[in-house]
Amino acid sequence: MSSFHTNLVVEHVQVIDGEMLHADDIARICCVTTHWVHTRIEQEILHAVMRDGSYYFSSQMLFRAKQVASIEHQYDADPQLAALVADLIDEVRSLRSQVPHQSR
Amino acid sequence: MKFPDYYATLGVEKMATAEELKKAFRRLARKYHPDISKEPDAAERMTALNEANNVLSDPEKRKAYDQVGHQAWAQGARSADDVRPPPGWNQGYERSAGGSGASGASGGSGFSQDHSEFFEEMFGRAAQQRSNYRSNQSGQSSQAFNGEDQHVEITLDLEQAYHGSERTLQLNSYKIDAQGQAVPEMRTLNVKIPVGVAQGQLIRLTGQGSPGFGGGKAGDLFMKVNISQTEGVRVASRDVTMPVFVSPWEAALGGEVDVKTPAGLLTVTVPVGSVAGRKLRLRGKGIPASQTNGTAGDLYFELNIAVPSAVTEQQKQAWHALSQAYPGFEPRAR
Repeated sequence: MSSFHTNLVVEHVQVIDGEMLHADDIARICCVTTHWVHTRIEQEILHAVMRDGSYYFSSQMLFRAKQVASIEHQYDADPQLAALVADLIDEVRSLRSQVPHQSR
Repeated sequence: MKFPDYYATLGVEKMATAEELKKAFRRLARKYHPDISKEPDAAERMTALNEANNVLSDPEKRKAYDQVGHQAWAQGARSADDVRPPPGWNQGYERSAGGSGASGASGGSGFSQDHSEFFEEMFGRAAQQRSNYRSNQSGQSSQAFNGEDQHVEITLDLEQAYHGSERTLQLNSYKIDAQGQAVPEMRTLNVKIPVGVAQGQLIRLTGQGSPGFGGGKAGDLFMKVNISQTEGVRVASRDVTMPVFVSPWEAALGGEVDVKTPAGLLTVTVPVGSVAGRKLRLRGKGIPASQTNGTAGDLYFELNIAVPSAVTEQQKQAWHALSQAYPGFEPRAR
């Protein structure tokens, strides 16, 4: 079996800063439908800004969408419950990051 | 474990019902979720559990898995006549990022959840692509498939976030060769990280994900930025909080102090009567603005009071005089 080794220099990167991700991007990356994304906005689980008739999301909201979608899928969880678990997980991580390594 | 048996991973019999599988997954997920587990290999165990559950909880995938067996499944087979990439080439695929600070698999949430979806998509797509290639060769109609997005996490230190950096990523990938076979490809990407990336930010490298086929576009590579937080330093988006030690007399009497920061040496005025924990805000001295966002973060100095030891007789007398100047001071009463 042959294999390839490719070396590339990437000069141009796009920093996703602010609300730059379209609802379709969120749906594709999270393996959900656009309807799922829109429903979670209506339920105030995800937050987006409306521009030119479309919703746009920040990268932080993408991570949240992935997390909520994953919890809903794995536990057959109600969306609001999944969002609550996602909030708690984030809170635990934030608190852990403030605890010095030695006392963990 | 090179090719984990999904039933064994979940600790159930092969004849387990959907309900039994669900219960087993939930029980083990509670035990091994990296946010609550004390087990050293919790993240890896959780990834394996997610992988097993994603397959066995789906009746169609489970049926296919039972037909081909776990080893063939791990090699990409999704039916008896499906494509079989060589064993082992998928090891470490999800993300292996070279260079200092590039992270490996993370906890049970975030990008690491995509493990099985990722493999499934990749191998499923490889089979489709190969099938398309053959159709193409025989003059039948073909269909374009876009490549999958890929995800990595990179860790930068504060200096790199303030000033930008370069990062080398090594990605185990695949490409479709002239015969329509999926063959392993090691891709080394030297990526310029711009100034002013924030904690948790996403960077997109358009077209650097998995290759497309039949005229389809390549996927994108998404890099999630983590900023390493050294002792006492906290980063939230572009705002940075760092501890600053001052002497008791600087805290009490106020004055200017010089502090070494990622933004350079800064002079800050400590207000008279400062107490430990007081925060001083330096607007715009956090992580700088990026090209797409014109707002720099703020830098917060959190005051800590360093108390010198009384070693010499003169120092002891000075502390004694201080105690007499505060006859009613009771720190434990606060």
